[in-house]
Amino acid sequence: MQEPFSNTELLSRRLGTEWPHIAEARRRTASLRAKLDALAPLTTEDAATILFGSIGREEVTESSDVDWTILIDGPSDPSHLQLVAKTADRLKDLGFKPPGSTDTFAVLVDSHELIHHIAGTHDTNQNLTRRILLLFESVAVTQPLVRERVVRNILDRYVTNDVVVPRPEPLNEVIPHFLLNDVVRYWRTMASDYAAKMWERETKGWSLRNAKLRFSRKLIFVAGLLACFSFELDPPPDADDIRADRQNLPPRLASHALDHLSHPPLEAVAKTLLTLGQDSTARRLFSAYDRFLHVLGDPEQRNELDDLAMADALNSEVWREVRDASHDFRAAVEALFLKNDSRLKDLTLRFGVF
Amino acid sequence: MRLRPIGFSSGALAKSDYRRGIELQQSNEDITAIELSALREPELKPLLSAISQLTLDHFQYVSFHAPSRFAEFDETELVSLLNSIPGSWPIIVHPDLIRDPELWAILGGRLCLENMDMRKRIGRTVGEMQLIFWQMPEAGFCLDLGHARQIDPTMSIAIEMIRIFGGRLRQLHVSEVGTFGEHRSRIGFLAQEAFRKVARYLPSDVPLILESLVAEHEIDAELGVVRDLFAA
Repeated sequence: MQEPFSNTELLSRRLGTEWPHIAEARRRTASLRAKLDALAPLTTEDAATILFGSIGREEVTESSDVDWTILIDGPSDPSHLQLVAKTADRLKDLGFKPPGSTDTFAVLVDSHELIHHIAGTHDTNQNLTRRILLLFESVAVTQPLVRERVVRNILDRYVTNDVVVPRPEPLNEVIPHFLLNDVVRYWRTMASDYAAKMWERETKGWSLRNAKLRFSRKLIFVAGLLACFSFELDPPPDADDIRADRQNLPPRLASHALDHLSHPPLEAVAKTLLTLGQDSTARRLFSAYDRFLHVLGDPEQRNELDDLAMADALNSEVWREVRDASHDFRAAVEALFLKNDSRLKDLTLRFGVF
Repeated sequence: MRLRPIGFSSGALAKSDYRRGIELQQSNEDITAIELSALREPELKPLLSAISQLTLDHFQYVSFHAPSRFAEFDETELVSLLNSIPGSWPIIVHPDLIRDPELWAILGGRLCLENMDMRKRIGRTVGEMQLIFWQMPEAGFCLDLGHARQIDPTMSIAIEMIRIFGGRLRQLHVSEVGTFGEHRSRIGFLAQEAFRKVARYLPSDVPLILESLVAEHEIDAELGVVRDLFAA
């Protein structure tokens, strides 16, 4: 049976255009996922192998590394550490580079912190990053139901703890404010952490990190906002009943958000653009992202970015291409959220700014 | 107000001893439902051959739990044996037991498929149950709350299952299921809170079958807890 068209493919057909580097990245992701089936024997109860980054976004290029964690959602077991070691060995045997040196990946992660330490004094940048990435750009290669259970628990925290002030019934807008604030916090944290890393690492690796901030990190922010507005933008058939029934709201809103999160970020954006029918914005946004993936997928250009000194940036064609494409991407995102007269603009101004 | 039928699985009260499982319940005025359990394959034939002699007048509602695995019988024999069960009794079946859905069609609406726990590879989520009901459109549904909670402690999957499969819902299994799929003796505080979230979505006449592995002296207390949780 032929696979149904993805939202991105539908959008591309509607616009009569192609985004070859996005399509190539999807193919590479599928091929990489198949390779990662080699991790299946490392399955155990209550532990899932979670992949983040380009695999979670379905944007794998030739030079992509594999960011992963072992997510534990059950009784502690000292041998869980062996699972981490075996997974690292297996990935090395398969030829994957180890993740970066921040201790965010290639480690054991306990669901307790992800679920219980949302905001408040115990939350950390690392915990926030893991939590948001788990929601918006992750896949499980073993025990997907463990991942889903943790995601449902996190969403439950976000929606059942969202009653911060008494509000009239029925609700005019169903927005998960708590989640929305964390999505915004994540984006601003990424931007601030970029500055911190520039300081700590004396600008080493700045341009690749900056390019990712302009595109893939911003994309998570965009997809996060769309997920938070999804009940209003794409309401379920019984939305009025749900609005009127405050007790029923949290589980239905969580399920609705979960459906939205089942798409990788670009797919979620394509779905919104298909719904809203903003063709020129869609063309600009996806074309810019395609240019970004082209640079990342070309070893020569990627290496140039990797080694680029700040002082040489304005003389680098590769850097100028990334920067120009990012300006197009930014303009398209601004048009999507703010410039076209739409429900999304109303929601963004009302809930996303002040 | 009509109270919803409530009672225990015979196997929960007396493993592999259906007579004792019935005896412990038929003198209890608060118990109005029973599930006769043949969860282990060797229990099936003795229970089937005893059905005509059993006195079950005490119960408003009777269901039958099929074996969770089969090796002695082939699938055709198993279905044929289950088809001899009285027509008004729902037959509770784990979906992973079914290899050839067409064979089971003979049971019609009596076939009642149960959602599964984490150990199984099918029947655990709404999507997985949808695939199964797509193959067996006449089948009823037994919502196992303990299994649903093991998959999703927030109970949004259970609520979604009631919303989507509510028209098929024949009965509930109620017990606390542990990390490794084991039924526990009593329903603890957190499981009670989780089940309470689901109660409001249930039709008022759906029978409750308890699978808590309680001792004889704990029957009334466990019944009371569950009755209060699901009081309309």
